[in-house]
Amino acid sequence: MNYIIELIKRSRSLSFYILLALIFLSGVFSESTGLIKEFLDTFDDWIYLLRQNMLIVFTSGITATFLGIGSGILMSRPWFRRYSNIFAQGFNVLSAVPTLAVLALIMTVTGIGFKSAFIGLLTVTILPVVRNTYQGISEVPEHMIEAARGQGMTDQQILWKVQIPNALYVISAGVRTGFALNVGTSPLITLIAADSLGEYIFTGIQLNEFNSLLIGSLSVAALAIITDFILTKLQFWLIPKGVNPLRFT
Amino acid sequence: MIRLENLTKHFEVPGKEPIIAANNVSMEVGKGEICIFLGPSGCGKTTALKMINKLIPKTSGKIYIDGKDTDDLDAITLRREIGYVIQQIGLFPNMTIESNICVVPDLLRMDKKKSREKASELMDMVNLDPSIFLKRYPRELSGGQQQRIGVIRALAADPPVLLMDEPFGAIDPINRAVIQDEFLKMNAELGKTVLFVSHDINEAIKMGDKIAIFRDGILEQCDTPDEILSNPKNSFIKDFVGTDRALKRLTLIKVSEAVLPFLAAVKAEDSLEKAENKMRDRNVHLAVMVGPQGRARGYLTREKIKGEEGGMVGEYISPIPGTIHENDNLHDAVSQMYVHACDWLPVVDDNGTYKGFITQHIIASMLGETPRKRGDKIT
Amino acid sequence: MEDIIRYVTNNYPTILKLTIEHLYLVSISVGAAIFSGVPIGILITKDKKLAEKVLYVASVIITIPSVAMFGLMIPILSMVNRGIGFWPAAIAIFLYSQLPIIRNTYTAINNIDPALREAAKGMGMSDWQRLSKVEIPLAVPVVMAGVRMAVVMNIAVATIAVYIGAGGLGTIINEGITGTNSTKLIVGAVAVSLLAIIADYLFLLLQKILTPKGLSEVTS
Ligand SMILES: Nc1ncnc2c1ncn2[C@@H]1O[C@H](COP(=O)(O)OP(=O)(O)OP(=O)(O)O)[C@@H](O)[C@H]1O
Ligand SMILES: [Mg+2]
Repeated sequence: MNYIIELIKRSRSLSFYILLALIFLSGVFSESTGLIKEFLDTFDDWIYLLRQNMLIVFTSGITATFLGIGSGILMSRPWFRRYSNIFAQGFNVLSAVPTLAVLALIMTVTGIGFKSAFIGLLTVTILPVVRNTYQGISEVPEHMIEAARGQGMTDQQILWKVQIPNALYVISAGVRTGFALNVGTSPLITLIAADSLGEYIFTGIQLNEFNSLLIGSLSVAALAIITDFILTKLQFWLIPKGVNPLRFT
Repeated sequence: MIRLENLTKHFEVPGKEPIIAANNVSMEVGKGEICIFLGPSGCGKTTALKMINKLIPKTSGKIYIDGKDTDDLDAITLRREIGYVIQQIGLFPNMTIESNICVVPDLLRMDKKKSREKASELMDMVNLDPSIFLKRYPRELSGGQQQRIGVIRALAADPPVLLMDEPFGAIDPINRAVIQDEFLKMNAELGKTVLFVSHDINEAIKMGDKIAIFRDGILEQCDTPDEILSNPKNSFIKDFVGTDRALKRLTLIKVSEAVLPFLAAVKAEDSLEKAENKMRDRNVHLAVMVGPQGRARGYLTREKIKGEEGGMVGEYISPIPGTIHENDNLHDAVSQMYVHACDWLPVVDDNGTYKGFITQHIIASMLGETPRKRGDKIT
Repeated sequence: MEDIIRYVTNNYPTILKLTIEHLYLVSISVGAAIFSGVPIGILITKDKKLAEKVLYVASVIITIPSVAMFGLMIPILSMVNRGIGFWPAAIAIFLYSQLPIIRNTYTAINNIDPALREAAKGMGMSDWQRLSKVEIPLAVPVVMAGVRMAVVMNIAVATIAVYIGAGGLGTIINEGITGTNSTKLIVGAVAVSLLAIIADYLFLLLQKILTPKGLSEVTS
């Protein structure tokens, strides 16, 4: 056991070689199965679908982020206090709902197409954003708010100068989760007749076309990983140092 | 400066009698005074304090600050003119130390440059290096350092009044003593009127010009520490300040106030006769021998030289038991006497120069005297 | 509404069968993930660098959307003739469950008050006794929280697994989508949502039961 641990620990250079070997092997593999040829043949489609996919993820994600943060802030306001618990519970329950079920339910209302897909992705993204915004704001300790009030801050100033800045990290975690769900759900919108990289995957499954399957899957996986990577970086650099656990030393 | 008139607070509790957290409290704190609110947990100290900056709305009564009825002031404006320090410190983690200190100046839209300079000055006053700490975030400071920032944040806009709710409660005893000293020194310079909640009687005695002791929302006694210790109004106060209240009074008196100055100082080459005469004249039983620099070198007693003749002081000298600094208080002096198992101590100043001595006898007689104000001299 | 009631009363054996299929897939895979994830989580508490690597890999895996994961799995598993059906779904769920389970085990054990550990050592417990008598019981609720996350998440993943022939409640939704049949869409969506919500709630309950009294704030 210890030997294995040692091996993994010293694996910095090892993993580099393994990676190289994998890249080489997959190159050989894809050449021999015609993956690369297939990819080049359908390159225009790929670009189009990628763009559509990114477009809907980005627009629905951003919309959901703004709407979600706004609603989360409203939920934390004193005049909403008496309902906010019920809402928070509701959001907790709703976030257990599978994303395909969300798409299915929206389809019963707005039918198929881009609009339904957009609403679906927005719904999927907004839940964690609202939840974390509300949670982040209400978790700012009471004594900190008392200190702010005692210094003579108005309720508005307490919200903008103390509560929201201190909730930022939790909010950003919600946005990350939301976007991950969004990207993860985006291939499914193919099912309700909206353009996305899911087309490669579902066609691949139906026709038992491994090349198409691989192109779709690798693209979607890369899109998801890159999106999360970018958001992590944004989270690291945009959240002020004093409230960003990633930057605590 | 601050006057409370029949201040009363009822907390409504659904389905029960309301809790009376403040019951007709009337008191006055003069400009530049430090008044300590003291009392057992739940007696209403915090409530009384927070009514002053309207964090808790009062049920009835009046609060005047500088002669102005606070009912006529709006809460936000009022709070910006009153410094506020809480036990949990409540620094804002999202702001640097500098922005934390400058919160109120910025809210008041004071000149940025001036307020930053002021922040540096205040940090110097509490022995924190501004060049190191101003750009840090609260979590990069120790608890004691954060608490210091909490205090100077309340001072940044130069409010005439400071409210502090157990500001040093969360700090370890050694650090607490240091911060208390720093605060006293700072306020001696700034002259703020301070209301300070504590439930540590020793802190109250050390810090307070006045102590207000509460029980169940009622202000039982509000007086100088010495008055409270020597003349507790009732048995509750008596119990609260403790059976050792006489000893606690000792901390209120500095050694320099009780010292018998230069009494019977003799030199090594003085004759025994001269020494004996000196002691008889001053009616004391010992004499301290000082060296050429004025330091205490040893002592001799009347018993020791009784019947001896013709010698010099230097031959009969015993080593001194220890020394006490003139700025220490009598409590320190007494404990030093116990440490050295003696009933007197020579008093020295910063340079170690002999200033006189104190005896247990004098201390005991001082405690027996009528209450005194701080700074009164023994005559 | 009437349609829905009629559909449910006419088809409840099918719905039940699909529900069981769904649960079977999730519970087998998450169950297996507990057996691998908990030991890994314990193991990596011994070495911070290793822990970072393992958690990093697990978090990359969980970032991969389930549809893509299936798509990658099919060609690979086809080599052993298991490209479609139960296996790719089960393996995907197994992989997705690693992060919540490993991470929660790891943090649970790491967060145990060092004083407690000292005390256990002071009483003369061996490493193994300490682990089994002190650390694991204290960690169980936190690990359960991870399992709960894995279960809820993978009920959703299993829904999508219908497209690789793994059955489950996704079948009804799929039929609803292809036939634009609102009744089926609603029944499928509600059924699978209820399943997830109920599982979430039951695991929360279990988590509370397993939490030693006086430690209840640990499992949030
Ligand atoms: N918001 C409130 N609602 C109801 N009762 C309250 C409220 N705040 C305080 N009280 C009650 O008022 C009384 C005085 O409380 P207060 O906080 O002023 O005590 P304190 O002297 O500061 O005590 P401590 O030393 O523990 O801080 C207590 O009995 C307390 O329970
Ligand atoms: Mg209090």
